[in-house]
Amino acid sequence: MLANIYHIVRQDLWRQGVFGNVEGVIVMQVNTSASELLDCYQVVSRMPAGVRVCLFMTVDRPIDRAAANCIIAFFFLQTYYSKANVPFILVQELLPDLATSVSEDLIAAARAQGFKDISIGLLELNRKNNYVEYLPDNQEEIRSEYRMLLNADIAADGLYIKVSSLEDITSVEALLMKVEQQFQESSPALFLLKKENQILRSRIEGLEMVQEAAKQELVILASHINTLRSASQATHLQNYYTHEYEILPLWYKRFGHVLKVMMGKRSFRSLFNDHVKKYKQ
Amino acid sequence: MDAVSCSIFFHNYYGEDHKWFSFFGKELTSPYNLFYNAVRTSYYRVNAPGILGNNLKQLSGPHLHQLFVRQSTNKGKDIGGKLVLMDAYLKLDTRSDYILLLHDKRSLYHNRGQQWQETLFRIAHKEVISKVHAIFRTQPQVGIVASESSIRNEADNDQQREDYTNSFFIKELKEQYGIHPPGLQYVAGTMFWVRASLFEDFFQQYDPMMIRSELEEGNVTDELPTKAHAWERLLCWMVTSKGFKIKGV
Repeated sequence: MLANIYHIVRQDLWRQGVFGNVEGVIVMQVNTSASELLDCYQVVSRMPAGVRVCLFMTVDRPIDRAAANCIIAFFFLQTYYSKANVPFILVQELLPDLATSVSEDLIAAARAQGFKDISIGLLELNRKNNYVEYLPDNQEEIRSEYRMLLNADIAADGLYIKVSSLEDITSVEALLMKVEQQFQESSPALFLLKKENQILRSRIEGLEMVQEAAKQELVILASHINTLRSASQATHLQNYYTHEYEILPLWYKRFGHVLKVMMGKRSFRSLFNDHVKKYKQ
Repeated sequence: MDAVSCSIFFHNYYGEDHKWFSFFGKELTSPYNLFYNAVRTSYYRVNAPGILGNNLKQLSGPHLHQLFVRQSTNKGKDIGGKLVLMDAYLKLDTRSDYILLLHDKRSLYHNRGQQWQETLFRIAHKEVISKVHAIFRTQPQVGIVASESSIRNEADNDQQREDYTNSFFIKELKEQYGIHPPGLQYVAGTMFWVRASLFEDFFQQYDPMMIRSELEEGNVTDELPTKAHAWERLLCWMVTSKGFKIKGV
């Protein structure tokens, strides 16, 4: 699909844990209690690889580091959704100003686990944020919202749709696919541009990951090379050679060459000619 | 959940997933769970995306009971990866008799890295696995089984410096986690079999993710003391401090 579709699924639904072929992102509504996060983690762990999932946390109190770590553990799941290579999480605050402190705690916990950043969206469940609830009698409203999104000049994040059953997800996606088909027929050039934009963004994100990974690996390999150089046998031998031979005076070395000839270890002509064989073996 | 005899914790940095899944399929001849952690930002993995698909399960042999894949950040090297998997193991309430810790070690800064890897990986070959299980069955005081030549005693190490035997990190962590081993024997390379209950008890008390948050980022070497380096010892000492022994095979 041209825009991101976020299916907001409440607790009693995701506990059923059966998600088939879904194009959009399954947004699991959770509170911050340890038991609910654990249940959700177990459900998400068992989802097939192709499904994309993210969390939607309703916060009514600050979170501690243990709770933050529980949430960060989701980001390690194969199925967890990232936006521009950054794990994405939605937050709804039930008390004013709570979202800011919770966001700061989550970002600190994520950085402690090695993430450069995470993306936190504050979702108020109203029309302003492209949020709508799917009901049997409001399909035209959803079509209209998606049409506006597709025709917008600036790329909006996507559409957040609260669903009441797992079958709703399939119905919503079928509905939105039809809207896209109609958009393609009515504005083919704009459709193509948006499609290409989507493909290029994805490629850029992939290349950014490769570039960053290559940069890190070069630093690591340079460090390995330094370690090898400092501890190598070649360095040890070089140091031995330098200290035992190289530092001796030239006249002493030349006397040694003559001695080798007298002992039969070196050819006489090699004392005057660099192009003849020096040593007998 | 059905109990299986073994859970493998495998940390992957260098890719080649097909090779490792085929390896497990060939060498494991009794039911096992595979916990597989791949470093998401590894150059070797981002350059070849889409490797970890469902079709890999087919390569893992008929004895693979369950596969759990994680994609972590590069923190704490293989120790950090194994802590992510320990966290998953506990959260998913999976239980087994033994845990086998492995990772795709290369040690690019050692001139005998390949040989070292082969030494450590012996314990994952089927002919050795049967010996390992027999040891655990017949010797109840054995807590860890590892390749004989990988068992070291910190006091006998070439690097007999205060930094290694008694670094600030080691001292601090021993106190923090109440780990007081009778000796300094450990398994170098952090690849060994351990009785699962010993790790379960420790990590149910001390959150593996919290421990991981304190480890170093990136591929730190063992040139200087680090927390990851300290935990390489502590993962063994937490077992020996409970009165269990390390046995070589």
